[in-house]
Amino acid sequence: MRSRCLNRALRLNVGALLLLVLVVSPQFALAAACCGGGLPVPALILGDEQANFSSSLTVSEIRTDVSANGVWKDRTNKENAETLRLDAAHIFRDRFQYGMSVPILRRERVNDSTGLGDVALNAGYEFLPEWDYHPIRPRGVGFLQLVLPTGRSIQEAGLLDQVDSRGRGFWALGVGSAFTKIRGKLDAIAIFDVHRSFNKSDADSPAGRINLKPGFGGTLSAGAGYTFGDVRLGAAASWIYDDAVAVSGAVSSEGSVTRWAVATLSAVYSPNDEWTGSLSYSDQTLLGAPTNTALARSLQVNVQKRWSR
Amino acid sequence: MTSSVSKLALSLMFAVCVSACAHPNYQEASTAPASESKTATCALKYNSQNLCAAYDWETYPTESDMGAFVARFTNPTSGALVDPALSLKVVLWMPSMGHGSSPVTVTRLSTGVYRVDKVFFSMPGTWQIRFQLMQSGAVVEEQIATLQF
Repeated sequence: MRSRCLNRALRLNVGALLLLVLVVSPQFALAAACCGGGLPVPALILGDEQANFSSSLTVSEIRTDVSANGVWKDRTNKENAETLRLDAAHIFRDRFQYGMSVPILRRERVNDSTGLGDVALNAGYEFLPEWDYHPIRPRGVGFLQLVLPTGRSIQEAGLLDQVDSRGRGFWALGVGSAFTKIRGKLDAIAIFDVHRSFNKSDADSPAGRINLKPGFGGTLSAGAGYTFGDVRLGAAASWIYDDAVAVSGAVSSEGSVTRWAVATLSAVYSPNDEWTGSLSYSDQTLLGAPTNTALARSLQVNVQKRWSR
Repeated sequence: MTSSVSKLALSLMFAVCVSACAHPNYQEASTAPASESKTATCALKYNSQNLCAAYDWETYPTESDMGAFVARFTNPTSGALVDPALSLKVVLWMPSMGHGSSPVTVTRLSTGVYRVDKVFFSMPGTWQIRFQLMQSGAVVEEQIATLQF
């Protein structure tokens, strides 16, 4: 009897874990659609597979700007953005993993610009393994993330409407952790990170040569889902904060902090152990007290291939 | 057990959603300032150059269209139009985000009168028009006009 219960519990947990694997990417769409920001969601393995590869397409409409003093203003000529993001993660030694995210962005407003966003590399370690399916203790994966300044920052954008800015454009190093817990058909996930962006000297801007001094930032994300057969429905919320970017050189200014929040609904379909597809909707206008940012609504389609251990 | 955990999680999510909901403080569409002329008060004064500057909009920019204004430099004592001894550079700057807009075009129309074209503010908020007097690529003195777009 006890063995049958355990087997059933294991089946439920494994099934839910497989669905949860994919949830990480579509559930948390962090970047401010206008200028990047926050740390990208790390390419992590939170399930039982050996490796995974995800491809997602996000279509966003940037509809509202929020000033540094929190005043909202809807855009009359809305900006459209499309992001193709490729994620890969691989467990190379028991509890150690690495991953990579490559975003390609297209932004369209008055002008139209396409190119590489900020590429991110991450390494992870499963410090809380899910070996005994403990009733309370979550699975925990700590991660270290390095963001490369491959996307041009908004300070360096040259086009009239700055649509050639596709990232923060700074080297950044982040440390964080992801926690997951599954109880029957219900699951929960939480991710947090703290990151530091590094100074950039002698950057080329329309105003002349400038020095950029960013600071610290952080992200807190939490979500939950319920599994119906092969389908998981989930909801999540994320809060993102970044210090002001101080500028000196040809022009000088102290800048203002940036913060916003994202609410996301997602539906994940996992017909087998190898493939998963998902659809998610994210809205940056619903939660929190955003300042100094642009807010978007996004639809994301994600396909993931997994390789078992 | 699962049922009670589910109820707890749903209650928690509901509480978080309600308490964390955004409360937008909307601003009406921006319109051109009534007057930006500062000639009378000499609000933009270059002490090192003994100059006053003022500007008046010809066309106020919109979210999708560029605007233009005319800048005038005068002697603060006589009020006569004079050319700055140094070269003039105009920078549009958004201090909160630490970025500017695309470069404007500055054309001298007559003594002390300059037309500034291709004025575009890429997003709403507080913008600065920085009138910089340059020498050998360095800013000698700048005066800043601030506006809400």
